[in-house]
Amino acid sequence: MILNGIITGIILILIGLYGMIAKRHIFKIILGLIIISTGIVLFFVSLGYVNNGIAPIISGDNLYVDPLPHTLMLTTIVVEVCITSLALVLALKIYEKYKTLDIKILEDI
Amino acid sequence: MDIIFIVIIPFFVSFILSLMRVFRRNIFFENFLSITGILIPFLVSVSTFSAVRSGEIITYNIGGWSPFLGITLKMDALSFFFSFLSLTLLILIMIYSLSRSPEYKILYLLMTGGMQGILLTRDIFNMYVFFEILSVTTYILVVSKEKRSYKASFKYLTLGSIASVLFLLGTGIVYKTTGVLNIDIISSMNTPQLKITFLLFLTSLGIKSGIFPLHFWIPDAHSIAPPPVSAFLSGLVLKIGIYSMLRLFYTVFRTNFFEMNDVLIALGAITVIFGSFLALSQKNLKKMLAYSSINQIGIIFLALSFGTELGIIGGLYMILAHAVAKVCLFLCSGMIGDLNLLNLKSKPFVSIPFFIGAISMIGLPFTCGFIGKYYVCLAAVETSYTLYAGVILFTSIISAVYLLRASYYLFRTSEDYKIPYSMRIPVYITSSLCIILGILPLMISDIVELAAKTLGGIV
Amino acid sequence: MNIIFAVLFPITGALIILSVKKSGIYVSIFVSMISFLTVLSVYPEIFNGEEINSSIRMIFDLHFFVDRVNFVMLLFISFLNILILVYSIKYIKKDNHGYYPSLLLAMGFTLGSFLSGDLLTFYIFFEMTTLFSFFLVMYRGTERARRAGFMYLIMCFMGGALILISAFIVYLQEGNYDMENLNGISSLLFLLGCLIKAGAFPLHFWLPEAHPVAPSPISALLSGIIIKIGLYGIVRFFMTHEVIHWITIIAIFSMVFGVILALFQNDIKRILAYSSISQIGYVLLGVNLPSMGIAGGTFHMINHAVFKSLLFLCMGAVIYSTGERNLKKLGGLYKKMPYTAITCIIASFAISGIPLFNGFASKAVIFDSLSSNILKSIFLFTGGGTFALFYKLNRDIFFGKLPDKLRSTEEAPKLMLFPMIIISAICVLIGVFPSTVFGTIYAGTFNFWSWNHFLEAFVSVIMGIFIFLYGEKAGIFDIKEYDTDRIYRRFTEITCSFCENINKIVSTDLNIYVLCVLLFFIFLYFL
Repeated sequence: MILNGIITGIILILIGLYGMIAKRHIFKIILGLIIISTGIVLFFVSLGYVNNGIAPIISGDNLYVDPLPHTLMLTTIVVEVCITSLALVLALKIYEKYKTLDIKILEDI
Repeated sequence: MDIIFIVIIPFFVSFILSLMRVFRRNIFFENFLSITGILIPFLVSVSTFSAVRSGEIITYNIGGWSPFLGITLKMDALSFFFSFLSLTLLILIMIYSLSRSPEYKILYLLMTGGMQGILLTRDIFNMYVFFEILSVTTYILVVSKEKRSYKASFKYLTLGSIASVLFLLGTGIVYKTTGVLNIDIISSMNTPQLKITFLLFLTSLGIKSGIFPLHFWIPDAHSIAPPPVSAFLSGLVLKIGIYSMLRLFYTVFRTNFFEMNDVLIALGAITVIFGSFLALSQKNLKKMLAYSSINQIGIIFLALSFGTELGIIGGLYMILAHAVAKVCLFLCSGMIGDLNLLNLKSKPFVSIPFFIGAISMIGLPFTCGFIGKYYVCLAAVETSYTLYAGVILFTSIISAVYLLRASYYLFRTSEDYKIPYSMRIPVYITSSLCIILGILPLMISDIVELAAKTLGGIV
Repeated sequence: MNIIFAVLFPITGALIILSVKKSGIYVSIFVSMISFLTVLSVYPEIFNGEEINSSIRMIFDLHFFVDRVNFVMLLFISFLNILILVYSIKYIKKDNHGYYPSLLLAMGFTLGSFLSGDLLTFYIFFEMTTLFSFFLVMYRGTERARRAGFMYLIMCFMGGALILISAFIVYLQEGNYDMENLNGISSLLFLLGCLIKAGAFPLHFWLPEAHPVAPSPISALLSGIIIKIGLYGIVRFFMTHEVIHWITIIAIFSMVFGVILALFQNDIKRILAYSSISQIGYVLLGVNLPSMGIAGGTFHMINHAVFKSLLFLCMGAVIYSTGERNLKKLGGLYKKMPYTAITCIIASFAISGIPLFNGFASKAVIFDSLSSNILKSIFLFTGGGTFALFYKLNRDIFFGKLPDKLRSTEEAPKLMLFPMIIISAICVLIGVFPSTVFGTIYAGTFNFWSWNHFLEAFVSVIMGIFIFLYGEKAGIFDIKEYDTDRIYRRFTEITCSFCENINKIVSTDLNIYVLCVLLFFIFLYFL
């Protein structure tokens, strides 16, 4: 289970990277970015997973999942939202100024 | 006062400033607040000086949690060096840009807080968060009235967020292997990390600080941004990447770092060479300065990769010299109308500070840059990488060519215009700092040597 | 007074001028006089055979050192500085380029390099002199001046870099920067650096470009004084080291090629620049010989500073009055400019080694210390070439037919003639009483007036006449020049195109950048 999560996370990161390398459209590049960050979140959350663990409310000797990665991911998600929205604003602005979102046409980006 | 105030005061003032947007704009009060927002952290940082100098490490646990669980802020000589340097320059840049919009000041203060946070925190994830605050604000600050600035900002954003993603991935793996995120605790465990983790951090911080094949965002972002923004981007934000490298590589990734020494030194040398040649071929002053930052970053990276104490001292002096001189040069560039190298025109009050900044960048004697160059070359010869000393000196000749060319054009002609004193004074101060630190380096040698010792070189 | 003030005064003067934004000629002359007096004030100590050591603590020590050898140099240089500044009053008519500040800074740092007592101090002042003399070279602001200036800058910084590396090597071996610790690779690097600055043969090509483009007082400073920095380093080196044979070869090549290339020139200042290379050869030949030779080389170096600056000032006067610097378009100026002509002839006699002028004395010392006959004959040939060269120069400028264009020429102003006359008086004084100067550098005694030396001068003159007549007949004076600067030009072209190309490569698009990040990671992982 934990391995599945990590592997899926890394696959998502690779997909995102592929999008950023292969796609010329700015919006798709932003999508690549979002996919990468989703992959990261998945990766991190899986790190904290403990087999048969329960929610980290300490009561007795139960196995519980590591809460730290989850809390960290809350911060990361906020940051990602921030970055994504900023990227989208910039994309809008670029479209407004240049009337295109194709990076091959928008030289020097 | 506790060192936490260095981090939270800028955030707090920035918050107040943004609340003030509701009311009618009071420029005096706004300027006052934005200066105090940096001045108080500066004073707090200065107040720790005597303690830091005697080798003490000032610790602050946020919320009183133990370092295992909570976040620790620590002020040692290295943090002090960077924090003091950056706050001094940030005040000067703030004075220079007082006439800008309130939004600028809000973001600027946020950035200051983020920067200080990175310098003080000892928690890797916390470092990531502060990095994001720093980056997001700078992505926005890069945008100016110019059309191209959106593209530059987008480019910066894309590469910057890849860098932070890599950083986060690395953090995850470190957490998985060690179970803690506190740098001191991890380094006291003394276990070598996975190579892939090290490379993740290297790539990430390489993007942030502009090592050669990862430098692509620098020339655009630095040249298109407004002059004060270029000044702190080039002078300080790049150095923050270098700081994190120092902090992480000499502690957490110590073994990995020393294993890959040769590669990193070669990487630094390549950065130096490419940076200087690219700077030579530029026709726009600010773009030239941006590439020259890459050149200097290469030298710094090279110096820090030697792994010896001399190398670290050289790198720190180089950081100091480059920060001061580059801020001076970029602030000067803000007072020059046409930035095309062939049409440069200016008054003596711009051209002389520019000249001083330029010779400090080249590393000529009696400037701060020379002290850096001296130590770096000494370290290179000491570790019998004499070839790299040759590379550094050779590229300093190239930078002499392009910087003195620009400064020659500035001397040649003059143009009539008025510049307010709030913009002139920071330029004067930074340029005289270049000389003062060059003639009296003993003023700061204590703290630099102490900082180098806290990291601990190979020997 | 502490000797360091000799350096500090000109620098302070420059800063004052910069801050008050006036042309500042009087301040300049004043500070240079004080600097001269400072040097003079240590005379009693030096005369008693003491050495002065003082140092300033930075992170490293700036170590200053005066003994008899560099005291004499400092005395002459600081005096020539004053004269050059006086000369500039009239020569530089309107100044908005910061002429005096950069001149003063160059002069101050030059004094510093002659004062330096170890490698690092030498390097520091060497670099600073290069920096400010670079601005002086480019003073005219023409395209040619700019090219020459950058060539000068690049070459001299290259020299500086070599010296710095050698200094570090010494430091890590011995823990200090003393010059006597140079050995093996470090001495090679040090000598190369100094040879570049001195303009010795294969590395000389910047010199004939840089020296003539500057205004004449600057050329006098550059050719008379600043190139001596390199020679000073070499002199100090050989005071503690054995003879090195390849230096002799370089010296011979510099002597012969310098004078031959000078014979081909038609620009009056270029001639002097090439002749400097040849004279540098003499000095190198001298300093590379045991005891007396090194004193002779040093003596010749001082003499060269005197007469070469005089020559440049004379040519400056000619250019000032006529506005012409092509030898072919000048002539018959003897009647129009008698003082200039006389001083120029005195300087020419001095440089060709005619008895009773200072060049004779130092050449005699070097000639006496030569052992092999081949060297002696080369020495005589170069002397002949020099004589022919200056015969040609003086004949074409001051004698012959006066061109119509120059009929209204007037003598140069008195303020320009005054320094020239003083320097020519120095030439004659040293020529008549050579042992006053030579005695301070050299402990032993030397008979300047032996028949041998007169014979040497005589043979040189005869040879010179032959060379001149042959050259005139065969027309070799019009050969198109061929010099080593092609290598440098080729190199700069390659650099430019390289820059353009990488500039094109690195500016692509975002996809490639992300790919670069990925490749960087993968590359390092599998490394």
